Amino acid sequence: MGTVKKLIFVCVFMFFFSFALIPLYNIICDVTGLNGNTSNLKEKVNTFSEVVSTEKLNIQFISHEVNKNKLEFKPKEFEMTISPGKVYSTLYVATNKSNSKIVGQAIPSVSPNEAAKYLKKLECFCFEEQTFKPGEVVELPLYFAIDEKMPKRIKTITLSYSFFEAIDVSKKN
Amino acid sequence: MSTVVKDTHHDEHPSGIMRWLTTTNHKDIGSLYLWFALIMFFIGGLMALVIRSELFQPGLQFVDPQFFNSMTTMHALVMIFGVVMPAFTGLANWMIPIMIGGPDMALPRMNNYSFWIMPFAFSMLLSTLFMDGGAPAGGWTLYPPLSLQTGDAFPFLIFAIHFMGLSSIMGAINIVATILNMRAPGMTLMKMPLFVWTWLITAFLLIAVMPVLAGGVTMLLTDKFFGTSFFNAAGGGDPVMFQHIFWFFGHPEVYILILPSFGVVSAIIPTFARKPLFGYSSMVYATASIAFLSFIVWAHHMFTVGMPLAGEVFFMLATMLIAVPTGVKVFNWVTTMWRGAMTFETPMLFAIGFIVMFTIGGFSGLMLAITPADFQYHDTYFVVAHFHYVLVPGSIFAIMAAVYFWLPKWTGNMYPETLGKVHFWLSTFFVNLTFFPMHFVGLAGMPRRIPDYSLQFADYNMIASFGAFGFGFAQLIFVYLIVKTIRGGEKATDEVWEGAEGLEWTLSSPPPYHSFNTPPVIK
Ligand code: HEM
Ligand SMILES: [Cu+2]
Repeated sequence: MGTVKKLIFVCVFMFFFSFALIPLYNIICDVTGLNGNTSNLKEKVNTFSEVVSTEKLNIQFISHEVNKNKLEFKPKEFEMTISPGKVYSTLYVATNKSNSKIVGQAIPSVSPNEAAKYLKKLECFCFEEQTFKPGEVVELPLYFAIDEKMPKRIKTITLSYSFFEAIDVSKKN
Repeated sequence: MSTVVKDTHHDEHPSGIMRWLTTTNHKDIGSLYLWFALIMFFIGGLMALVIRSELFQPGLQFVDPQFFNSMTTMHALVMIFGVVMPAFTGLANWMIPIMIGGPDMALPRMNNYSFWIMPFAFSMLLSTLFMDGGAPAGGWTLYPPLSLQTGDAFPFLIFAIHFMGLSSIMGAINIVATILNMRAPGMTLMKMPLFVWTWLITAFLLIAVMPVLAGGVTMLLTDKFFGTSFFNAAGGGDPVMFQHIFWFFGHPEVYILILPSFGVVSAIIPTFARKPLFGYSSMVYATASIAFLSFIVWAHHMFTVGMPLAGEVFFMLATMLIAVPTGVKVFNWVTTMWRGAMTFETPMLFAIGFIVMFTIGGFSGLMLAITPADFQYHDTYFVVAHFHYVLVPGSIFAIMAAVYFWLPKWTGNMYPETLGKVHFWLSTFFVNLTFFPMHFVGLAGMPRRIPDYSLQFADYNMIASFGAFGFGFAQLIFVYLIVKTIRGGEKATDEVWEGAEGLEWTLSSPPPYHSFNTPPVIK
């Protein structure tokens, strides 16, 4: 019966569509900068360093520790006043308080979401997986700049990192 | 259609339990679904009473918080998937073939399977109450990472949802195939009763979104057991993604729960107003546009997750747009009653109660749709008040209206009218006593899904708990009344209700086991 075949096809299609939503969602987030997903890729400097604006804005750094007793993970500076178009650097500090090795990665998020696509990272510890030996204290560098194309009404940006331990199964992304 | 054989094997079927296990008759299967829904209604109701007992007073009294949260989670799953959906599927099985003049459902064997999957799925779900780590307690919305902390119950929960979904999809395919292929000659689409129309559209919604839920929960399952990271930020996933998938299913789902009610009410109001339904075709178009719009409003459940302004505004406006076709329906019902020669038998009372109280729920929905306001209302008892108004005096009242309306047809006996009215008035009084105060505590900031609350909410919660027990006991009248009517009573005529329109009233009461083996003539 034709109707039934067509309906079953719709069902199967929608089942796979639910999985397709994941890449679609990421594509939409990347294109629009929604969700505070900042790019996890190195940016080329010359695309935005031509003009240094006199505009001032605040950038705040925060972190989320999943398990404070195991790994302390904090920004060295909590706030900076910066100008768009110029490259700045700062540090996050990780202290492995446990007596075993910790492997994992920091996942960034930017607020307001709209600012995400204007925050360019030239070098970031979040690009790679990190390994901390027992008791080790590590300084993690971050080089970034704000694209001067960012709308002027944004005066404060918050950059947040959450450090997640890698799960044993081979990672995606 | 032309393959229908002459009724040589009338009423020839195995008796006892085998009749019910093997039946492929749409009337038997309709009854099975309805009985199943009734039983689950009491199981889900019992869970609600556990919740209301705990909330009777502030502080922790009866159950521990984990169990309280299992109760809210399981109550929702049972009521949505175990009561409202199967009850409507039961009505569809019983009524659609005899409303369109077809001999049975298009796929009778599959019909049997799709019913018998349900008791299986629900045994699996309810068995989690006895497992290590308790029943699922992360909310019926299953948001990760919380839902991933479920104990041994987790895989049972997911597979139960898979099976419920499978059953609904099979039921929906069957309904679409029946409506498209089994109509009597002359029964054009635009002559179909609205109950059939609303079910056709509901079935399409089911076919489109149940697989999305199945996909979403499958991803939860692989995240938990197979190390994928669909929703796990540590592995590059995103928990908010689950909310998008869930509500992409979830919002159309709430329309799955309400559209068949629109059909029921559209059948009852004209009968007791003794006037044809006002604006039949606008009703059809309104239903179709509600269904279409339901796909583009899902993020109104997620206003607070941190969407960009453009997203908030889009979903706010799209949600408000749904109020337009919904309003068309309400106006059409009211206009149908306008200057009608109305009488107020029990089905009509439930239908009118539906219109009034569903509209209250619609209005609180509109309030929730206002993004900046929702930042205050979200996850408070105001939301609980909203969806209970649309679901209890909404969907559940419509189901009860349908049962009173068609019970004389099904059984051949009239139900006791006075008792029916008592049931209606008690239910209406107690449902409002239960849910109206929730608006106030919600606006005042009482969060949902929490077993304790601060003192200023105490009075209204006590009132709500009284209401809930009253409502629960009032439902025993319903059961008594159904059993009594099946056992006997004043004989119903074939037409049952004076001036009732539709093919179902041309059959005898009760109808023969196989009806319309020769298609009726449609005027
Ligand atoms: C006029 C139409 C409606 C509008 C504008 C509307 C709007 C909304 C909004 C904005 C929310 C989210 C509130 C929040 O979580 O902050 C919501 C929740 C909900 N609505 Fe409606 N709604 C409407 C009709 C319905 C109908 C007909 C049903 C079901 C029969 C329904 C069932 C629900 C449910 C179950 C929830 C809560 C889901 C949960 O979080 O557990 N709504 N509604
Ligand atoms: Cu919704």
